[in-house]
Amino acid sequence: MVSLSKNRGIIETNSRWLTNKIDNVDEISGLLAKNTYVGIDFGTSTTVVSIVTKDADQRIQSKTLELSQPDKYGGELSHRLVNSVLAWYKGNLLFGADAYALRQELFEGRDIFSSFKMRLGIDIGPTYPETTLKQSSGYDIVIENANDATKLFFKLLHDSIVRALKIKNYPNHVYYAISVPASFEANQRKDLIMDIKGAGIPIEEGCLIDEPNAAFLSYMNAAATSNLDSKFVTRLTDGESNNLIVFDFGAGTCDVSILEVKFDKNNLISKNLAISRFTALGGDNFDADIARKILVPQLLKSAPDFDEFNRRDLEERIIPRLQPTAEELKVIAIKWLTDRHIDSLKRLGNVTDELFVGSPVPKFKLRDTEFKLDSPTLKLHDLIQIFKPYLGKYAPLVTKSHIFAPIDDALKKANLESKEINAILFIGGSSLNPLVQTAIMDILPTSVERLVPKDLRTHVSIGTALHGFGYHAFGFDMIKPITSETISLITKGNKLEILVPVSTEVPTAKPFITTCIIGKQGQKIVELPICAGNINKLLGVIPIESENDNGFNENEEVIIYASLTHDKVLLIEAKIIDQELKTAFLNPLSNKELSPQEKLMLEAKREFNLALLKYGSRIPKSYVKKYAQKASDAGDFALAAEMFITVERIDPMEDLSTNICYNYSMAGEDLKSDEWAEIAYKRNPNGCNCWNLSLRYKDNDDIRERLLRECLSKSMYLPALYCLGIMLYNRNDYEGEILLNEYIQNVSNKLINHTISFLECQYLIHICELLQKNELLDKATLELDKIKDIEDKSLYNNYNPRNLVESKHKSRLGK
Amino acid sequence: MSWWVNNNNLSEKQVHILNSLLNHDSNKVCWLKGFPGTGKTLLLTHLLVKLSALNPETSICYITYTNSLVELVKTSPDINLSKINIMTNYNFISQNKVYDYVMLDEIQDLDKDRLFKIKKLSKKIFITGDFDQQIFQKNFTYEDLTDLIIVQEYELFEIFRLTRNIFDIAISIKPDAHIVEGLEIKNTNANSGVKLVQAANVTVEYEWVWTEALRNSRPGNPSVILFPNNTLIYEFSKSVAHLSGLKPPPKPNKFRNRFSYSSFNEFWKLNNVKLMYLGGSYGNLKESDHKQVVYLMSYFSSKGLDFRNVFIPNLNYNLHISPNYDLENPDLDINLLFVAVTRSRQNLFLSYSTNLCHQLISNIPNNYYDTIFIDNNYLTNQKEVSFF
Repeated sequence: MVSLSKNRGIIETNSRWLTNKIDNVDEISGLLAKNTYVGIDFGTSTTVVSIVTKDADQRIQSKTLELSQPDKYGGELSHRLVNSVLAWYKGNLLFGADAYALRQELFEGRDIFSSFKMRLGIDIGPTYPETTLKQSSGYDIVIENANDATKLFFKLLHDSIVRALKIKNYPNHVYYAISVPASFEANQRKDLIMDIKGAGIPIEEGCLIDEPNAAFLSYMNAAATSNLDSKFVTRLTDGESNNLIVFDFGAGTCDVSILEVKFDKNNLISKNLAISRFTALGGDNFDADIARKILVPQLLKSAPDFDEFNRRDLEERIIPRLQPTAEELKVIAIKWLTDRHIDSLKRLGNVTDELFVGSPVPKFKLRDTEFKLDSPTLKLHDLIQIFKPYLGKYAPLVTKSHIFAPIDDALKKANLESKEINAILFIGGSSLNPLVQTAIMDILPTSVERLVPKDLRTHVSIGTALHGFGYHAFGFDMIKPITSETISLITKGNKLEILVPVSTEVPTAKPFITTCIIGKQGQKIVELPICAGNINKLLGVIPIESENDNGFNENEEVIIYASLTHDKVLLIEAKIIDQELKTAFLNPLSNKELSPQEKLMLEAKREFNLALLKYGSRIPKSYVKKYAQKASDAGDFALAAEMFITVERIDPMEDLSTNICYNYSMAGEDLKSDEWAEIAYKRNPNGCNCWNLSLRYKDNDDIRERLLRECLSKSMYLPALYCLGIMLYNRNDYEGEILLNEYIQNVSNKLINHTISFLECQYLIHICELLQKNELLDKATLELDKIKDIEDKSLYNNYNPRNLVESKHKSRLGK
Repeated sequence: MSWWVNNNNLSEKQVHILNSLLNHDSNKVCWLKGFPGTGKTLLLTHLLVKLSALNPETSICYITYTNSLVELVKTSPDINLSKINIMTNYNFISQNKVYDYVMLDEIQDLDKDRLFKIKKLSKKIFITGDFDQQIFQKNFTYEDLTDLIIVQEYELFEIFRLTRNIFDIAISIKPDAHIVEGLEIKNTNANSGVKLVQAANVTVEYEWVWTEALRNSRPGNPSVILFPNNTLIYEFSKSVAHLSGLKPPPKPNKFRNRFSYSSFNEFWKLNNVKLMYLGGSYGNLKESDHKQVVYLMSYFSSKGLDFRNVFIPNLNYNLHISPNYDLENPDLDINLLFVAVTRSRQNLFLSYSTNLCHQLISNIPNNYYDTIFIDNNYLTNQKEVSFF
């Protein structure tokens, strides 16, 4: 607990360390004489380190540490800001400011690595399959994935911290605390702790503090030690309760916490009410949009004969290449606005257009085509369009990427309306953008006070160090972290049964107990699928098999005990009669909700990345082919088509034109599909290719008929038989009825054996209607319903819906 | 332009001084003093803006020594150019008009005669200046100033421009520079190591300087390469032309002791080379706000300006820094180099191409800079990497 006494400027605290005027000076001095308390704010773009000290009046404070970082000339620079970037440059590993400056010269994922924080907790195999620093490369340094990068970065940071502390003669017994986004999931926290420990920094669960909480501590410390002119602080010292939003908008994430802060008998108590769900939205999104919408077209002008970028090239190479320039243009434009005191999107609309020019993008090659951008430009009015979805009018169901969305989410979880908020504290580098602050303030009621610390980028680090002091010196956890999502059990009918409510403090004091029942007599297996937030974000499934041959009895109770560790790892214990099963859950694949198809894709991508890492540009075509096939199975048809094209490029003897044609068609890219249909036909006019090409000539019956006949002459291709039959039938050509009857003959056995496909059945129904074969029509219709029923069920569920339990409270609806 | 700091972002001490200046009502002339980079010009400009807002009917003029500084002050977004006049002191005297308020910058570069004339044309005057940075005149002293006007000194205690490393370099070049007690470095940029580059020969030196100046230059943060005289400026530019595959640029024309750089600048513009001479009435400071530019300047023209990346080549042992080097006044070399190195906000590159560097550089302790050796093969080819 943080305390402020009623006399503003004089602080007493029952935690005894966040004080202005303390009665245990000797104790505090003793602790600081023996130990150094370091706080690290590990940001997506920038890392800041602070230490706890005392000021001239013996008040506890925290200040940033200037850390040495290598420069690109072989020397050093020092700065309190350390960019979270690693660069491999002329045989040397750089980190920090000059590594960041090299982003435009080097290749992301190959010899420069940034935003690796955002890739923690996701298992897609090697995050950097094209890295120069692979295990097999013979270098001492290996960076193949986000964990390697994080660990290495912390190692270098640690060395720099130790050096800085030594130079300033701080005690060499060091305690660390690290800040994390409040919405960081258990798998992300676990990854981070593992990497930090791997870097040689001693750390444990309690050393982590949620970033918004750290920012709050820093703000309260500043209020205690300086003359902060704030109605929020005045209200507190006058004894009123306050609801505070902490809005942390960084490069990669947007984290919102709502805290309740109040006085209770001279002690100030702060409590987390809610945190927003993990939102991968930050300044980087603006940059990526500028790169994609503004700079890519400019880049393409430098290579007019180049067709277009495929998705993988665009997302994994081109956009990262252009992003530093996009960021630079954004910063120039915002500075221009700030100098003119323009701080809202509305006002921006009234300003005449302005053109900003960035630094050139060094030339590079992509598949033998050279690209360059000597004068990248950005118009002010184009920037308005870029900002609009994020900063414009907010419509909750429509503008999902709006920066207010996480605030909305947190308010709902806290059960508060915006008018019940007293103040909002802005932190994070991207909050420096005045348009961001105005966009939020315009939505909130005018009664909400805007709090902006002096240095938005160092604020969290300062609070983290203070937390570290409280935790390591006194075992005190200032503000208990809470969960950002509800943890639920999926029950019969896809209803959700809440196991752990949202905004639960962690670690949980005691387990939450939920009781469900067996829904069917004799059920032999119970499956308990656990999800977070909603049904698509499956954490895991607990199976319990009955030890009795007759299965479980109807209405038998299934008791589930759920608890959370400090790291938000979920522990589940399930009990049916005497059968118990314990398990711990993390979701290794992703930090956001995934559909079954997306899960498949991620698994496929992991395999592909592993192969890419191993083989580099000489990756065997079999891996690419496999990836293409899995993409197609997962429904990412556009990617599948592009990957099949890549296989053909690797091996010109491969003919995958039919696959390419099919996948482009499924992706809705008709022009490309038609193009490949022609190619496939020219290469091999087999039945399938004739059929595919015939689809291109829907409006030219002569050519279409010719192709369909050619198709049927080569193979009994049922869709062709159907189409030609219908075409001729409609023309009153007798041959039409013959062909349609032939179709019926060909599918009859399939119908009887229930092996007929959905499309075949649909065609059969149409023919039966035309030829008035009513009995057959009835059978076909029945069969079609059965097929629909089976296909409706998810093919990719990890559990059988028949094995689910039922909610005891049948009136409770799932989300 | 990067030099401008909004009112909201001034430090507490700056705000305090500004208020003191606004409320100053004695007959003494306010003299804003401070080490290079303490924001004298910035505060004087803020004062100008506030006085104009408080007294809209009064006539106000800002005067300074060089055209570059005039252009710099004009870039302030808070200045209403229809109400405030900004000009060189030469033009001010020529105009012969009396103003209610006059802000006089760089007072150390005046002489008694000019100061007297300026005083006559001003009802109320505010001055800034630092005698450690006197590079134009040698006969005007502090005593000369105080003989003419009674001053009240306002000392600035915070250095915003220089990093600690650059400050150390500056002090070692000019150990007798006035450092007020309590002077703090408040620069929030990275404290980059100053680089001392020894090149195998002048061609290599120029090639390296041009490549790195361009590489480090960004819109809003241009690089500047400083030279002591026009001859060396031209020699360097020939090197750039050669590297760019061009014929030599037109030589600046000399007219009444001044060089004309119009054709020179036009040449680079037409050939899409991001080089520009800045000084006198040539070149455009604002252009670098929106695009990548490398400026060539003389030490003299750079006075009062600052840049993130400053390159100072030709620091050979056998060259003088001042074109008017006078054995009787060795301070001019010191002051010039002092002014040159204090133009940098973050990155400073000193270079030479002889076996030994200039005496003033060799006086700098070794641990104040990083040494880089550039031989004939320094340029590594950057491979264009083919993607998968």
